[in-house]
Amino acid sequence: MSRPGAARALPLAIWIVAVAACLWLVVARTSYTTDLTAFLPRSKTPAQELLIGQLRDGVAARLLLIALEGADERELAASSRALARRLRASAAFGYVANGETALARADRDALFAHRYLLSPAVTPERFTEQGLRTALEGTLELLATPLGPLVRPMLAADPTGETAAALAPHLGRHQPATRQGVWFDPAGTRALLTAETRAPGYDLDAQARVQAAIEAAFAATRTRPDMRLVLSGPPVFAVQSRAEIEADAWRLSALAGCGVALVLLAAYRSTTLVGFGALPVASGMLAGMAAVSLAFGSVHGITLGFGATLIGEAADYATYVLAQRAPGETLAAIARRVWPTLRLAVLTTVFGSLAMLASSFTGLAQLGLLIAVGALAAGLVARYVLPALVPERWAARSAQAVPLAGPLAALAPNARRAAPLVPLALVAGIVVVGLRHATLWENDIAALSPVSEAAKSRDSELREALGAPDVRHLVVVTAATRDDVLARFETLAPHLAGLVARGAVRDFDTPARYLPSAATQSARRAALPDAGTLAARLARATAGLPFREGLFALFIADAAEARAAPLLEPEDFAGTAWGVALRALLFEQGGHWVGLAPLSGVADPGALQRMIAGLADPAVWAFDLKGESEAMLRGYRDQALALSAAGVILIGGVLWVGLRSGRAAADVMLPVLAATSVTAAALVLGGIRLSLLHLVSFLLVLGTGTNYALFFNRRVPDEAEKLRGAYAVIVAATTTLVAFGALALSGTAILRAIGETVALGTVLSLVFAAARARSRS
Amino acid sequence: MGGARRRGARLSRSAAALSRVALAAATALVAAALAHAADTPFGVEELMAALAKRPESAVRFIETRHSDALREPLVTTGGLRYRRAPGGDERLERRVATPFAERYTIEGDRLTIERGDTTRTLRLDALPLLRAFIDAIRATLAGDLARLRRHYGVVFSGAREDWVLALLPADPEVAELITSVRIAGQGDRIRSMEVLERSGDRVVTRFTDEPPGSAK
Repeated sequence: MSRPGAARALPLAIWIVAVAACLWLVVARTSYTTDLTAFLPRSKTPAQELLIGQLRDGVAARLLLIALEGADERELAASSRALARRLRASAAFGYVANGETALARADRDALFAHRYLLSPAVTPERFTEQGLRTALEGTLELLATPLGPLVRPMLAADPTGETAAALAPHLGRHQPATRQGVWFDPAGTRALLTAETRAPGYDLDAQARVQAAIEAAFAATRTRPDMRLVLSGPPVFAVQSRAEIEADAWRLSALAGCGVALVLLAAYRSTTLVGFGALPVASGMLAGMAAVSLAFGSVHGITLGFGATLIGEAADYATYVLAQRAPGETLAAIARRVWPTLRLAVLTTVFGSLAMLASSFTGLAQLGLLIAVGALAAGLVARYVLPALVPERWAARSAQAVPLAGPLAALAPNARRAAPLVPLALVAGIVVVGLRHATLWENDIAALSPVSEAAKSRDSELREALGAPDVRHLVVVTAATRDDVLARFETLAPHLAGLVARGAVRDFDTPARYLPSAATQSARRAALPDAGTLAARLARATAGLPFREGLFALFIADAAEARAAPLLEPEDFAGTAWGVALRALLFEQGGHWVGLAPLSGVADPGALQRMIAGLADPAVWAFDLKGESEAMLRGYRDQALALSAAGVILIGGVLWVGLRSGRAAADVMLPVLAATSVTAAALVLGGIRLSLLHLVSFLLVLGTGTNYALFFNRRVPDEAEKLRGAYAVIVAATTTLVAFGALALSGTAILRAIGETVALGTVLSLVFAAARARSRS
Repeated sequence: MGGARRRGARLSRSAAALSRVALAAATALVAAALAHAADTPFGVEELMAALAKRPESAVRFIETRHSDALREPLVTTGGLRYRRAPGGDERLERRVATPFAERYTIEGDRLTIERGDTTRTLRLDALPLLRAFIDAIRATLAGDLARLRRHYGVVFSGAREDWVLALLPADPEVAELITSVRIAGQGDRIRSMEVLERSGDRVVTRFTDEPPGSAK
């Protein structure tokens, strides 16, 4: 403090350089992800990895269910065709189906071209004289059935019916009802389509564009103006949820911002000070983001969302400097005076957050770093930059006397009479929460979703009508090679068929249905005799049958070609619906191959589990998407809870050292812990199950509430200063209450949960801290 | 040359006489037809209404496939039974007796194939082409013009006692397999069906009333 000029200039210069550097980092050098991998622990299991992959970009995550309604059958069918034509022409979709053709031309061509490798009927016996005779007799009879027109064009090239045999396993699969040649729901009031987007499921911007394109295509192709479009499926829910949360968040943030500004304006009596007051928290957020970016390479959306909530505590730092001005005091003098307490407030937050750095979840570790760095930066800006930056003439214009001094002074003794109630409240809260521990946590991931019940039930209606898999149960095979996976599915298929026969499962699909294993393909190829042998056997087999001489030349040529053809690869199905299905069901992940068998209509999950257990093959497991995602979220939450508890202990340690007394530290900790436990108890008694969002809210309450108690218990020279400190705390608590009270008005469960919890926790923290205030003069 | 001319003149004279007779006959026929038509106009709607009034029919069939893939036509015989419940539920049964035994039963969307001891059930929803083939005869027996027009362009010709429905596939996928279907009949009875396939095959089915008592 040698020269006042230098004392002002140095922090300012450091701040400007740091802000510029952070801005550059955050704007130009940071990538932002909304990837679910933030919920993945670093020591992830294959199931968790698979889950994330499926949630991000599985078939389910890209499958749109489309329904047209509000017109008669004929109009709906015409619109369905027109819409499907337009969507198929668009590059945005890998596959569009509306029931017009059970099998597209590309699929039929692929099936026909590769029939000898795909048909389960191809065995050595099939191509003996007797086998051929039986097959040809069967084909002749088929010509005399209603299937005749379908069989006839294939007669010369495929007289043993291998194309039909290859197709047969797929025909048994559930198909939606058709009317007017397109898919309809059973009631006949909705025409149904499905479309698989090329854009990955996690790319919500792309998904939003695709959905807008469908709406535009529908508007352009519908045959009646009163016809309606219904879009459903995970990508639709994801886009809608985001839009709803964003709209709500913007609206309520604006409301909260206005409310906070009004409170601060009333406290500071200066718009300029209100503006300057935002600098510490803004700098803190920026510094926190820059730190995360440097340490992790990218910043996660979850980190930003929760971080923006938790950094709310740092918004109070400016208040503690700006709202407790003694008459004639300069800002620099206030900052110096308040700093020992403010420093402790900052350090409790920094250490409380450090525990999260140890998390094995990237999302939590990022959050811990962001808050630790952010709070530190905000504290330093409030202490050194704010006094240097704000011109004294503006500061001087602010309130000279403490408003509400009279009522505050009168209230204080009454509040202290309630002091013994605070430990009782803590115990009562803990008891209530403890009694309800079995139903304390919300484990249903869907409960956090802002998607309405009506939309969810409509989705399951459409899914049922379309026979689309329920996106929940899968049998998974992992192995070192693709072929190993396929071979295991071939072993597995009869067991799954057994479950279907017993009614435990309605239907299943496996990648081996589309692409047989190399062993199976080789065996089929080897079953084909050479051209000479085949011709000779055929000549004997057709004796007495009415086929024209030389009719089967194509058959002999095709069989000879298939005999020498290379085995099928997934690329052989490029551009077909089979290719799309195969890509979804068979893929490489983390250095090994994964195959999925989606199950629909799982009536008896226990039977499925027993069947899998009976195989005793560690490469084969049953996978419950919903159960697994809930387990993962639970893991994340449990670790957040454990680390928060560690954070509380660290905060206690910091306070002990900082206040040089265990008793004083306990005095600061008790009110906020009581407030948190009573808030939790109130939520639980209100029938609310707690989630990760509540946990984050508790952390914020813990941060702000500790500061209230710190300032109430500050060592002060006189009664006037005590009142000024109390006033600053009340201003800080009011801003928090207003900001989060606005969130509590949200229609979105996520935002409401945070809003209610923080608002209630803040009020309780303030009251309890006031009751336990023990200012030492 | 002269002889030829004479002969030609004689021919043209007799042709003229013939044509006069033919014209008279035709005029008489047309007049009669017009008179009849004036009484009761008979077109595709009337035909369908007449067919729709018959909730049941049972006929024998002889089906012959003429194909250049076969040295001789493939002949199949059996019975065809159609029944429509008052609620609109339909059942069509095609029972093959020779040269093999098999029964196709179509109820609504479900096709059941019975052969010896084995029974297979398919859904027509999964086989839209098959549904189009089946509906040519099923929708005609039902007198359901709307359903028939869903799959085919329908051209009616003839009269009440000798009518022909020409069906032209509307769906390009069906048209790839079938050129046309021609169903002929008398009043509310179907007498024959001829399917011309794109492969060049011609499948002719003749229906005769099942003798009383033979129905099972």
